Amino acid sequence: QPLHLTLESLPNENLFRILSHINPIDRVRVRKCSQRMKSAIEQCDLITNEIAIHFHSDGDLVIFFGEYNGCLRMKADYTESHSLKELTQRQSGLFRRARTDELAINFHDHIVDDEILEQAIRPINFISLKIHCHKMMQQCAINMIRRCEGKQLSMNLCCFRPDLQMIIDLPPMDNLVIQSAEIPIEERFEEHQILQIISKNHANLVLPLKCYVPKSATILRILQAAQSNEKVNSFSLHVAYINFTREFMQSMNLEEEGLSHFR
Amino acid sequence: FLFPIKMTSPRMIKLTSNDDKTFEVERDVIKQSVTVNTLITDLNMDDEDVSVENQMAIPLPNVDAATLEMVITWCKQHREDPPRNEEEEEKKEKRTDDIPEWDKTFLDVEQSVLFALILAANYMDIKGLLDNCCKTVANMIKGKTPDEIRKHFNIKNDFTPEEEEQIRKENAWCED
Repeated sequence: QPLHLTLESLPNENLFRILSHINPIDRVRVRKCSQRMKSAIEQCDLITNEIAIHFHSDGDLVIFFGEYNGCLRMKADYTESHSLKELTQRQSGLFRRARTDELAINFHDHIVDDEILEQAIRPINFISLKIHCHKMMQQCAINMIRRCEGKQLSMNLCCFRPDLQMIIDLPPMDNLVIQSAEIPIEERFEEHQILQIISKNHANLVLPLKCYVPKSATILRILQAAQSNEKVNSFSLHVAYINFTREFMQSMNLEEEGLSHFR
Repeated sequence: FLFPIKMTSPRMIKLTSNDDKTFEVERDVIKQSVTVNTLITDLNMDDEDVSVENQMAIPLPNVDAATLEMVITWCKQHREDPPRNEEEEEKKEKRTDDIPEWDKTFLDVEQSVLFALILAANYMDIKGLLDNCCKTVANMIKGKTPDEIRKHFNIKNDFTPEEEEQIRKENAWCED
Protein backbone atom coordinates (compact mmCIF):
# COMPACT_ATOMS: atom_id res chain seq x y z
CA GLN A 1 0.00 0.00 0.00
CA PRO A 2 1.19 3.56 -0.63
CA LEU A 3 2.32 4.36 2.90
CA HIS A 4 3.14 7.97 2.06
CA LEU A 5 -0.54 8.84 1.70
CA THR A 6 -1.79 11.12 4.44
CA LEU A 7 -4.76 13.40 4.93
CA GLU A 8 -2.58 16.38 4.08
CA SER A 9 -1.28 14.78 0.90
CA LEU A 10 -4.73 14.32 -0.58
CA PRO A 11 -5.51 16.61 -3.51
CA ASN A 12 -7.72 19.59 -2.66
CA GLU A 13 -10.64 18.09 -4.51
CA ASN A 14 -10.72 15.10 -2.17
CA LEU A 15 -9.86 17.05 0.94
CA PHE A 16 -12.73 19.47 0.25
CA ARG A 17 -15.13 16.58 -0.12
CA ILE A 18 -14.09 15.27 3.30
CA LEU A 19 -14.31 18.71 4.90
CA SER A 20 -17.74 19.27 3.40
CA HIS A 21 -19.02 16.60 5.78
CA ILE A 22 -17.88 18.32 8.96
CA ASN A 23 -19.58 21.21 10.70
CA PRO A 24 -18.15 24.73 11.01
CA ILE A 25 -16.85 24.20 14.50
CA ASP A 26 -14.90 21.09 13.54
CA ARG A 27 -13.66 22.99 10.50
CA VAL A 28 -12.32 25.71 12.76
CA ARG A 29 -10.44 23.01 14.65
CA VAL A 30 -9.07 21.53 11.43
CA ARG A 31 -7.98 25.02 10.39
CA LYS A 32 -5.80 25.22 13.49
CA CYS A 33 -3.90 22.02 12.69
CA SER A 34 -1.37 23.11 10.07
CA GLN A 35 -0.72 25.49 7.18
CA ARG A 36 -1.96 22.90 4.68
CA MET A 37 -5.20 22.29 6.54
CA LYS A 38 -5.75 26.01 7.13
CA SER A 39 -5.30 26.70 3.44
CA ALA A 40 -7.64 23.83 2.52
CA ILE A 41 -10.36 25.06 4.86
CA GLU A 42 -10.07 28.60 3.54
CA GLN A 43 -10.23 27.53 -0.09
CA CYS A 44 -12.95 25.02 0.65
CA ASP A 45 -15.11 27.71 2.24
CA LEU A 46 -14.87 29.75 -0.90
CA ILE A 47 -15.66 27.11 -3.44
CA THR A 48 -18.15 24.77 -1.86
CA ASN A 49 -21.30 26.77 -1.81
CA GLU A 50 -23.38 23.96 -0.48
CA ILE A 51 -21.64 24.00 2.87
CA ALA A 52 -20.69 27.60 3.45
CA ILE A 53 -21.23 30.81 1.61
CA HIS A 54 -18.80 33.69 1.74
CA PHE A 55 -19.79 37.00 0.30
CA HIS A 56 -16.99 39.36 -0.56
CA SER A 57 -18.02 42.89 -1.26
CA ASP A 58 -15.28 45.39 -1.98
CA GLY A 59 -12.95 43.14 -0.09
CA ASP A 60 -14.29 44.17 3.27
CA LEU A 61 -17.20 41.86 3.78
CA VAL A 62 -17.03 38.21 4.64
CA ILE A 63 -20.02 36.19 5.70
CA PHE A 64 -19.83 32.63 6.81
CA PHE A 65 -23.03 30.70 6.59
CA GLY A 66 -23.47 27.07 7.41
CA GLU A 67 -26.29 24.86 8.47
CA TYR A 68 -25.54 21.66 10.23
CA ASN A 69 -27.63 19.60 12.57
CA GLY A 70 -29.89 22.47 13.43
CA CYS A 71 -27.02 24.85 14.02
CA LEU A 72 -26.47 28.05 12.12
CA ARG A 73 -23.41 30.18 12.58
CA MET A 74 -22.83 33.49 10.91
CA LYS A 75 -19.69 35.53 10.88
CA ALA A 76 -19.35 39.11 9.74
CA ASP A 77 -15.97 40.73 9.74
CA TYR A 78 -14.86 44.31 9.50
CA THR A 79 -17.85 45.55 7.66
CA GLU A 80 -19.53 48.88 7.41
CA SER A 81 -22.94 49.24 8.95
CA HIS A 82 -24.71 49.83 5.69
CA SER A 83 -23.27 46.78 3.96
CA LEU A 84 -24.15 44.56 6.87
CA LYS A 85 -27.63 45.98 6.84
CA GLU A 86 -27.96 45.29 3.15
CA LEU A 87 -26.62 41.85 3.63
CA THR A 88 -28.94 40.89 6.44
CA GLN A 89 -31.84 41.98 4.25
CA ARG A 90 -30.49 40.03 1.32
CA GLN A 91 -29.98 36.94 3.43
CA SER A 92 -33.20 37.02 5.37
CA GLY A 93 -34.64 34.46 2.96
CA LEU A 94 -31.79 32.12 3.74
CA PHE A 95 -32.28 32.68 7.44
CA ARG A 96 -35.95 31.86 7.17
CA ARG A 97 -35.18 28.63 5.36
CA ALA A 98 -32.59 27.62 7.87
CA ARG A 99 -33.77 24.87 10.12
CA THR A 100 -31.90 26.23 13.02
CA ASP A 101 -32.27 26.38 16.72
CA GLU A 102 -28.89 27.84 17.44
CA LEU A 103 -27.44 31.00 15.99
CA ALA A 104 -23.98 32.33 16.53
CA ILE A 105 -23.07 35.74 15.18
CA ASN A 106 -19.57 37.10 15.11
CA PHE A 107 -19.34 40.83 14.60
CA HIS A 108 -15.65 41.10 15.36
CA ASP A 109 -14.60 44.74 15.32
CA HIS A 110 -17.80 45.91 13.78
CA ILE A 111 -19.71 48.38 15.89
CA VAL A 112 -23.04 46.67 15.94
CA ASP A 113 -26.11 48.67 15.27
CA ASP A 114 -29.07 47.54 17.32
CA GLU A 115 -31.48 47.67 14.42
CA ILE A 116 -29.20 45.61 12.19
CA LEU A 117 -28.73 42.97 14.80
CA GLU A 118 -32.44 42.71 15.31
CA GLN A 119 -32.96 42.34 11.57
CA ALA A 120 -30.44 39.54 11.50
CA ILE A 121 -32.10 37.50 14.19
CA ARG A 122 -35.77 38.38 13.72
CA PRO A 123 -36.62 35.67 11.15
CA ILE A 124 -34.98 32.91 13.11
CA ASN A 125 -36.88 30.82 15.55
CA PHE A 126 -33.81 30.25 17.65
CA ILE A 127 -33.69 28.93 21.15
CA SER A 128 -30.05 29.67 21.61
CA LEU A 129 -28.19 32.77 20.52
CA LYS A 130 -24.47 33.34 20.76
CA ILE A 131 -23.05 36.75 20.06
CA HIS A 132 -19.37 37.52 19.83
CA CYS A 133 -18.47 41.15 19.63
CA HIS A 134 -15.53 43.30 20.48
CA LYS A 135 -17.20 46.64 20.34
CA MET A 136 -20.85 46.12 20.91
CA MET A 137 -22.46 49.21 22.23
CA GLN A 138 -23.73 48.85 25.73
CA GLN A 139 -27.28 49.85 24.92
CA CYS A 140 -27.34 47.45 21.99
CA ALA A 141 -26.20 44.62 24.25
CA ILE A 142 -28.90 45.43 26.77
CA ASN A 143 -31.57 45.60 24.06
CA MET A 144 -30.46 42.28 22.63
CA ILE A 145 -30.62 40.65 26.01
CA ARG A 146 -34.10 41.99 26.62
CA ARG A 147 -35.28 40.64 23.27
CA CYS A 148 -33.86 37.24 24.10
CA GLU A 149 -35.68 37.03 27.40
CA GLY A 150 -36.74 33.45 28.05
CA LYS A 151 -34.28 32.09 25.47
CA GLN A 152 -30.75 30.87 25.81
CA LEU A 153 -28.24 33.61 25.33
CA SER A 154 -24.50 33.43 25.32
CA MET A 155 -22.67 36.70 24.84
CA ASN A 156 -18.95 36.64 24.36
CA LEU A 157 -18.14 40.27 24.73
CA CYS A 158 -14.44 39.58 24.35
CA CYS A 159 -12.64 42.87 24.77
CA PHE A 160 -15.84 44.58 25.69
CA ARG A 161 -15.87 45.73 29.28
CA PRO A 162 -19.45 45.40 30.36
CA ASP A 163 -20.76 47.78 32.88
CA LEU A 164 -21.32 45.71 35.97
CA GLN A 165 -24.67 47.36 36.53
CA MET A 166 -25.69 46.21 33.06
CA ILE A 167 -25.15 42.60 34.05
CA ILE A 168 -26.88 43.13 37.37
CA ASP A 169 -29.91 44.61 35.62
CA LEU A 170 -30.41 41.70 33.22
CA PRO A 171 -33.87 40.14 33.17
CA PRO A 172 -34.20 36.44 34.08
CA MET A 173 -32.74 34.19 31.38
CA ASP A 174 -33.03 30.46 30.79
CA ASN A 175 -29.37 30.22 30.11
CA LEU A 176 -27.04 33.14 30.45
CA VAL A 177 -23.34 32.92 29.69
CA ILE A 178 -21.40 36.13 29.72
CA GLN A 179 -17.76 35.92 28.90
CA SER A 180 -15.52 38.88 29.04
CA ALA A 181 -11.82 38.39 29.17
CA GLU A 182 -10.89 41.90 29.91
CA ILE A 183 -12.74 43.06 32.94
CA PRO A 184 -9.83 44.69 34.72
CA ILE A 185 -9.15 43.53 38.20
CA GLU A 186 -9.95 46.91 39.70
CA GLU A 187 -13.43 46.62 38.19
CA ARG A 188 -14.05 43.17 39.56
CA PHE A 189 -17.33 42.17 41.02
CA GLU A 190 -18.01 42.79 44.62
CA GLU A 191 -19.74 40.10 46.58
CA HIS A 192 -23.00 42.01 46.89
CA GLN A 193 -23.05 42.50 43.10
CA ILE A 194 -22.74 38.79 42.44
CA LEU A 195 -25.48 38.09 44.95
CA GLN A 196 -27.65 40.63 43.15
CA ILE A 197 -27.08 38.83 39.83
CA ILE A 198 -27.92 35.45 41.34
CA SER A 199 -31.10 36.83 42.87
CA LYS A 200 -32.32 37.57 39.31
CA ASN A 201 -33.35 33.92 38.79
CA HIS A 202 -31.16 33.13 35.79
CA ALA A 203 -31.71 29.39 35.39
CA ASN A 204 -28.23 28.64 34.14
CA LEU A 205 -25.62 31.22 34.76
CA VAL A 206 -21.96 31.58 33.83
CA LEU A 207 -20.28 34.73 35.03
CA PRO A 208 -17.09 36.30 33.76
CA LEU A 209 -15.01 36.43 36.87
CA LYS A 210 -11.69 35.61 35.31
CA CYS A 211 -9.93 38.37 37.12
CA TYR A 212 -11.92 38.02 40.28
CA VAL A 213 -10.24 36.68 43.40
CA PRO A 214 -12.97 35.70 45.82
CA LYS A 215 -12.35 34.57 49.36
CA SER A 216 -13.67 31.18 50.44
CA ALA A 217 -16.33 32.85 52.60
CA THR A 218 -17.51 34.80 49.56
CA ILE A 219 -17.77 31.67 47.44
CA LEU A 220 -19.72 30.02 50.22
CA ARG A 221 -22.23 32.85 50.41
CA ILE A 222 -22.59 32.85 46.62
CA LEU A 223 -23.27 29.11 46.60
CA GLN A 224 -25.79 29.52 49.41
CA ALA A 225 -27.57 32.19 47.39
CA ALA A 226 -27.59 29.92 44.34
CA GLN A 227 -28.85 27.03 46.47
CA SER A 228 -31.73 29.04 47.87
CA ASN A 229 -32.84 30.05 44.41
CA GLU A 230 -35.13 27.33 43.10
CA LYS A 231 -34.77 28.39 39.46
CA VAL A 232 -31.04 27.98 39.46
CA ASN A 233 -30.37 24.62 37.82
CA SER A 234 -26.76 25.16 37.08
CA PHE A 235 -24.34 27.75 38.26
CA SER A 236 -20.76 28.32 37.20
CA LEU A 237 -18.31 30.81 38.51
CA HIS A 238 -15.39 31.22 36.14
CA VAL A 239 -12.64 32.51 38.34
CA ALA A 240 -8.91 32.73 37.99
CA TYR A 241 -6.13 33.12 40.49
CA ILE A 242 -7.59 30.79 43.09
CA ASN A 243 -5.40 28.06 44.41
CA PHE A 244 -7.94 25.35 45.09
CA THR A 245 -5.94 23.61 47.77
CA ARG A 246 -7.41 21.08 50.17
CA GLU A 247 -7.20 23.76 52.86
CA PHE A 248 -9.11 26.23 50.74
CA MET A 249 -11.86 23.71 50.04
CA GLN A 250 -12.01 22.70 53.69
CA SER A 251 -12.26 26.33 54.74
CA MET A 252 -15.51 26.58 52.78
CA ASN A 253 -16.91 23.62 54.70
CA LEU A 254 -19.33 22.70 51.91
CA GLU A 255 -20.55 19.50 53.55
CA GLU A 256 -21.65 21.16 56.75
CA GLU A 257 -23.45 23.79 54.78
CA GLY A 258 -25.26 21.15 52.71
CA LEU A 259 -23.51 22.37 49.57
CA SER A 260 -21.30 19.39 48.84
CA HIS A 261 -23.10 18.77 45.53
CA PHE A 262 -21.45 21.91 44.16
CA ARG A 263 -18.28 21.04 42.35
CA PHE B 1 -42.78 -28.44 -23.42
CA LEU B 2 -39.17 -27.77 -23.04
CA PHE B 3 -37.82 -24.42 -24.08
CA PRO B 4 -34.17 -24.09 -24.86
CA ILE B 5 -32.55 -21.77 -22.36
CA LYS B 6 -29.50 -19.94 -23.53
CA MET B 7 -26.98 -20.06 -20.63
CA THR B 8 -24.78 -17.04 -20.97
CA SER B 9 -21.89 -16.40 -18.67
CA PRO B 10 -21.73 -12.83 -17.39
CA ARG B 11 -19.83 -10.43 -19.57
CA MET B 12 -16.37 -9.87 -18.14
CA ILE B 13 -14.11 -6.83 -18.35
CA LYS B 14 -10.35 -6.79 -17.79
CA LEU B 15 -8.76 -4.06 -15.70
CA THR B 16 -5.02 -3.57 -15.21
CA SER B 17 -3.59 -1.82 -12.18
CA ASN B 18 -0.55 0.44 -12.27
CA ASP B 19 1.59 -2.43 -10.98
CA ASP B 20 0.55 -4.57 -13.96
CA LYS B 21 -1.88 -6.91 -12.27
CA THR B 22 -4.93 -7.74 -14.35
CA PHE B 23 -8.35 -8.36 -12.84
CA GLU B 24 -11.39 -9.81 -14.55
CA VAL B 25 -14.59 -8.29 -13.33
CA GLU B 26 -18.20 -8.63 -14.35
CA ARG B 27 -19.43 -5.86 -16.62
CA ASP B 28 -22.45 -5.47 -14.38
CA VAL B 29 -20.24 -4.95 -11.33
CA ILE B 30 -17.87 -2.37 -12.78
CA LYS B 31 -20.66 -0.30 -14.29
CA GLN B 32 -20.56 1.67 -11.03
CA SER B 33 -17.33 3.25 -12.22
CA VAL B 34 -18.26 6.09 -14.52
CA THR B 35 -14.67 6.26 -15.81
CA VAL B 36 -14.56 2.57 -16.75
CA ASN B 37 -18.10 2.68 -18.09
CA THR B 38 -17.24 5.56 -20.39
CA LEU B 39 -14.10 3.80 -21.63
CA ILE B 40 -16.03 0.60 -22.33
CA THR B 41 -18.58 2.54 -24.36
CA ASP B 42 -16.00 4.68 -26.16
CA LEU B 43 -13.89 1.67 -27.05
CA ASN B 44 -16.90 -0.38 -28.18
CA MET B 45 -15.99 -3.07 -25.70
CA ASP B 46 -19.58 -4.13 -25.19
CA ASP B 47 -19.33 -6.12 -28.41
CA GLU B 48 -20.44 -9.61 -27.37
CA ASP B 49 -18.47 -11.24 -30.17
CA VAL B 50 -15.18 -10.43 -28.52
CA SER B 51 -14.21 -13.04 -25.94
CA VAL B 52 -12.62 -11.94 -22.71
CA GLU B 53 -9.36 -13.65 -23.77
CA ASN B 54 -9.13 -11.40 -26.82
CA GLN B 55 -10.32 -8.35 -25.05
CA MET B 56 -8.06 -5.39 -24.36
CA ALA B 57 -7.48 -4.73 -20.67
CA ILE B 58 -8.44 -1.27 -19.46
CA PRO B 59 -5.40 0.32 -17.86
CA LEU B 60 -5.93 2.16 -14.58
CA PRO B 61 -2.61 3.97 -14.17
CA ASN B 62 -3.65 5.70 -10.94
CA VAL B 63 -4.71 2.60 -9.04
CA ASP B 64 -2.49 -0.08 -7.54
CA ALA B 65 -3.50 -3.75 -7.43
CA ALA B 66 -4.33 -3.93 -3.71
CA THR B 67 -6.58 -0.90 -3.95
CA LEU B 68 -8.19 -2.08 -7.18
CA GLU B 69 -9.00 -5.39 -5.53
CA MET B 70 -10.76 -3.52 -2.73
CA VAL B 71 -12.62 -1.32 -5.20
CA ILE B 72 -13.87 -4.40 -7.04
CA THR B 73 -14.96 -6.01 -3.75
CA TRP B 74 -16.90 -2.85 -2.89
CA CYS B 75 -18.51 -2.75 -6.33
CA LYS B 76 -19.55 -6.41 -6.02
CA GLN B 77 -21.18 -5.69 -2.67
CA HIS B 78 -23.05 -2.70 -4.10
CA ARG B 79 -23.96 -4.10 -7.52
CA GLU B 80 -27.67 -4.10 -6.65
CA ASP B 81 -27.66 -0.52 -5.40
CA PRO B 82 -30.06 1.77 -7.29
CA PRO B 83 -28.29 4.24 -9.57
CA ARG B 84 -27.37 7.47 -7.80
CA ASN B 85 -29.06 10.69 -8.76
CA GLU B 86 -26.32 13.22 -8.17
CA GLU B 87 -28.71 16.16 -8.24
CA GLU B 88 -30.78 14.56 -5.49
CA GLU B 89 -27.62 13.69 -3.56
CA GLU B 90 -26.55 17.34 -3.67
CA LYS B 91 -29.86 18.44 -2.21
CA LYS B 92 -29.71 15.94 0.62
CA GLU B 93 -28.78 17.01 4.12
CA LYS B 94 -25.09 16.45 4.78
CA ARG B 95 -24.74 13.61 7.22
CA THR B 96 -22.13 11.02 8.06
CA ASP B 97 -24.15 8.67 10.24
CA ASP B 98 -25.67 6.85 7.27
CA ILE B 99 -22.71 4.69 6.23
CA PRO B 100 -24.00 1.12 5.76
CA GLU B 101 -22.71 -1.39 8.32
CA TRP B 102 -20.95 -3.47 5.65
CA ASP B 103 -19.07 -0.37 4.45
CA LYS B 104 -18.16 0.61 8.01
CA THR B 105 -16.45 -2.75 8.51
CA PHE B 106 -14.96 -2.72 5.01
CA LEU B 107 -13.51 0.75 5.50
CA ASP B 108 -12.11 -0.01 8.93
CA VAL B 109 -8.59 -0.08 7.50
CA GLU B 110 -5.30 1.78 7.90
CA GLN B 111 -5.48 5.44 6.96
CA SER B 112 -3.14 5.07 3.98
CA VAL B 113 -5.42 2.36 2.58
CA LEU B 114 -8.46 4.54 3.09
CA PHE B 115 -6.79 7.49 1.37
CA ALA B 116 -5.72 5.24 -1.52
CA LEU B 117 -9.35 4.15 -1.84
CA ILE B 118 -10.44 7.80 -1.94
CA LEU B 119 -7.97 8.52 -4.75
CA ALA B 120 -9.07 5.40 -6.64
CA ALA B 121 -12.79 6.08 -6.17
CA ASN B 122 -12.22 9.64 -7.34
CA TYR B 123 -10.24 8.56 -10.40
CA MET B 124 -12.64 5.75 -11.28
CA ASP B 125 -15.57 8.04 -10.50
CA ILE B 126 -17.43 5.75 -8.11
CA LYS B 127 -19.46 8.30 -6.14
CA GLY B 128 -20.92 5.88 -3.59
CA LEU B 129 -17.52 4.56 -2.56
CA LEU B 130 -15.97 8.02 -2.60
CA ASP B 131 -18.74 9.40 -0.41
CA ASN B 132 -18.54 6.64 2.16
CA CYS B 133 -14.74 6.90 2.35
CA CYS B 134 -14.94 10.68 2.83
CA LYS B 135 -17.64 10.30 5.47
CA THR B 136 -15.46 7.77 7.28
CA VAL B 137 -12.56 10.25 7.38
CA ALA B 138 -14.94 13.06 8.40
CA ASN B 139 -16.14 10.92 11.30
CA MET B 140 -12.51 10.56 12.40
CA ILE B 141 -12.20 14.36 12.49
CA LYS B 142 -15.49 15.18 14.20
CA GLY B 143 -15.39 16.24 17.81
CA LYS B 144 -11.60 16.19 18.07
CA THR B 145 -9.46 19.06 19.29
CA PRO B 146 -6.74 20.35 16.93
CA ASP B 147 -4.15 18.42 18.93
CA GLU B 148 -6.15 15.23 18.69
CA ILE B 149 -6.66 15.72 14.93
CA ARG B 150 -2.91 16.26 14.46
CA LYS B 151 -2.12 13.15 16.45
CA HIS B 152 -4.72 11.03 14.68
CA PHE B 153 -3.60 12.02 11.19
CA ASN B 154 0.08 12.52 11.97
CA ILE B 155 -0.07 16.20 11.03
CA LYS B 156 2.87 18.40 11.98
CA ASN B 157 2.03 21.75 13.52
CA ASP B 158 4.01 24.08 11.24
CA PHE B 159 2.59 27.37 12.52
CA THR B 160 4.85 29.91 14.15
CA PRO B 161 3.71 30.95 17.65
CA GLU B 162 2.60 34.29 16.14
CA GLU B 163 0.50 32.57 13.47
CA GLU B 164 -0.99 30.26 16.05
CA GLU B 165 -2.00 33.23 18.20
CA GLN B 166 -3.50 34.95 15.17
CA ILE B 167 -5.59 31.88 14.31
CA ARG B 168 -6.67 31.56 17.93
CA LYS B 169 -7.88 35.15 17.86
CA GLU B 170 -9.67 34.71 14.54
CA ASN B 171 -11.52 31.68 15.81
CA ALA B 172 -12.20 32.79 19.36
CA TRP B 173 -15.75 33.70 18.46
CA CYS B 174 -16.98 30.17 17.96
CA GLU B 175 -15.01 28.44 20.63
CA ASP B 176 -17.03 27.25 23.58
